Amino acid sequence: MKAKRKSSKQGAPEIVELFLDGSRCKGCRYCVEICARKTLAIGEEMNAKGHLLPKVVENGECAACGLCAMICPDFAIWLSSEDEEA
Amino acid sequence: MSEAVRQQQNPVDAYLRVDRLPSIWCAGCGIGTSLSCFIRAIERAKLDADKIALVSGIGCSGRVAGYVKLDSFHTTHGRAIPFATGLALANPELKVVVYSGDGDLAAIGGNHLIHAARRNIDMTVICVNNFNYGMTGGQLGPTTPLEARTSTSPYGNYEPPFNLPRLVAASGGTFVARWTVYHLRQLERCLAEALVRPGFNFVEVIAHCPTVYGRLNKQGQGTDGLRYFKEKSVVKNGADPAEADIALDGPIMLGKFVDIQRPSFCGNYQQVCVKAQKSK
Amino acid sequence: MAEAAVLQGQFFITGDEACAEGAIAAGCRFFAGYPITPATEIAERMARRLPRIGGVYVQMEDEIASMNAILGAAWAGAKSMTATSGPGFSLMMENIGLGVMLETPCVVVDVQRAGPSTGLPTLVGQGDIMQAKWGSHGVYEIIAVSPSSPQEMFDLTITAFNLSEKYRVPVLLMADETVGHMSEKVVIRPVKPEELVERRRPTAPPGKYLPYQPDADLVPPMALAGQGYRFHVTGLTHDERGYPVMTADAHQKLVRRLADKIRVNRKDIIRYEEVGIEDADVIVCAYGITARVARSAVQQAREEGIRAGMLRLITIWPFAEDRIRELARRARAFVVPEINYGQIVLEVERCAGGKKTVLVPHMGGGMHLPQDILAAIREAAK
Repeated sequence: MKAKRKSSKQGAPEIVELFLDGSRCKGCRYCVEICARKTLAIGEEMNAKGHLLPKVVENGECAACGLCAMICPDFAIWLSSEDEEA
Repeated sequence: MSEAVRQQQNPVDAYLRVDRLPSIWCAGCGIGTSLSCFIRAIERAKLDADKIALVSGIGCSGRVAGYVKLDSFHTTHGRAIPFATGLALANPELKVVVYSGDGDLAAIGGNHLIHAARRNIDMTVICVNNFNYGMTGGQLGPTTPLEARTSTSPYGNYEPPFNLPRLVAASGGTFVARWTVYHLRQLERCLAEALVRPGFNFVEVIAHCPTVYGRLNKQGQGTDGLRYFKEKSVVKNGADPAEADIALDGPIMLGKFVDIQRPSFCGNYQQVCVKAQKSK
Repeated sequence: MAEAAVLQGQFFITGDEACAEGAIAAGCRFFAGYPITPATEIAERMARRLPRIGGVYVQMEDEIASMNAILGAAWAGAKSMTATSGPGFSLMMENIGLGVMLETPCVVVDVQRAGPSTGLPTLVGQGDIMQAKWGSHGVYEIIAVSPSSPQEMFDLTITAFNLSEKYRVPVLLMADETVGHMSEKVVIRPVKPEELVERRRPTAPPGKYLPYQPDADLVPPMALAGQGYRFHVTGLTHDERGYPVMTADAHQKLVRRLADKIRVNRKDIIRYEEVGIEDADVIVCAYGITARVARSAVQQAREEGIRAGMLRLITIWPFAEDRIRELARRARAFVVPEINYGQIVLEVERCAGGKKTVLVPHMGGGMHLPQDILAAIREAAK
């Protein structure tokens, strides 16, 4: 999944790549809930167990804070690079 | 392209038995989140993962031991702490972590909890508190708030619960803190701090149980639990743990409550050995 | 001045003290216990000795904690021991089972006293013998040995450690209050390193090592915490990887191996002493302090012209079935004196092929007198 980067860091890549392992996801929406930019939403794609997977919303902007990766109880979502914390 | 290939694996997978995922925890259960913070805390603390020995008891939280790629022991109900004590005393180079739930640590394991705190054994105890015995179907436990419904308090719980930070502090715990699984960065940093500290370190992690406790008390799904933690938490570092009681649907006091230094069991024992070797 | 870890020479000490010295001679450097009559002296001796020789003594809050602490210590690499009596033994049962399931070497001493319940705390009993085998829940086999003298308290403690390391199982030292509290000459001879057994270490590297992949003798090599193996072990039914696998097949396979590990190797494990057995018509089968009394009774019987002999059980579990069956072919009767209301007699009877089996029970917190056993021998010889 790709999102436009919204970053204050100079020289950071324009696109943040979000990885999702659909086989681990249980559709709990923790990632959707924690995202301060509302970049994630539950999509229409369903995994083999019947859970609806999250997706990046249209024109979604990502600050690469990494909280979705951190909150996921199933280690199903992670980022390509994370902004350093303030 | 090549970077995408490189990043195909979740970086925390190095600490997980990925061949056992997805976990048995329900959708919306916070235990997995606590584990995620714990793994990141290990990295933040720059621990040698080979030296970590993780001991758990029985219950949903106890299943953490089976998912971490560390030397891990899934022991009997309530007995993680004495098992961990044996590990810690027999090999002081081990970094001993106990990871278990409210019922396991404070009901059947209560006696061991208070004595390990009293002795100041070098270990970090992570107590995930979801206010019930989830694995067995949502029975009341020693942290179930008054009035709460559980499968064994169908008319509302009438047993006053433990305030775990107060219990551990009163028993002599030198580091006592509480966070929720919503407070990700605080929890990660708190765990990282606890993990490098000598002595008995206790971190209570409040988590939602959407399947039983949360459902029986109309507290909604996992995300509703997160919202409750976000809205009702009050952070008060340094507060007196006696003020940290939790009422049903009430505010949750969070923070680092106790951070003191006290001689550890190991230190005391070494001094005794020196004395013993000098005496006739 | 550093003390030599192992005392050497001749001593006049109690069985409890000798047991502590045996543990130290075997390499035990971790003791976790809780005071209980008549085993307390073992803890007290360890509390004095271990801090002087680089070992760890810890008095835990109860027997349950003690049992778990010795398991944890074993996984950290220590040879570990606890000591208790009946009430504590009962408390330890669940976690003896954990020790069996995790395949943890350790020694549990039960200095038996009269039960049930609080019973006669300061007086002898032999009522925990069946409990030693069946006390924990579920299907399992365990090893138990029974010393008859302070000297054996020393020697058999070493044996217990050796067996526990070799078979990766808790070994129970079923002593009794008389043997524990009596004073007798104990010779502590130098124990050579090659006489001590150490648990087998993994040959596979981390990543390839499977915690419960057994070798040919059904015992898996044991990694220790902190060595980089990153293993997981659980009290749940598990497979070779140590992962919980709760299928019928996995359970069958595991439980059979845990039991067969002991059964298949019983010739190596079972020990007994025989006196006058070759032509015996009446065989006294005894253990612990009772065997000392029985020896006297057998001697007197011989003097009266009765062909009496004694089979003294040193290993109680696994039970010496094969030997009893063999002896039952020739002998006419078995006499089983024990300080309980009939425990080992049930095993003897089971294996005696229909031959007369006579229990000589004795309770009340005292030993048999030789004439109690002699009377039964005479009766059985008729």
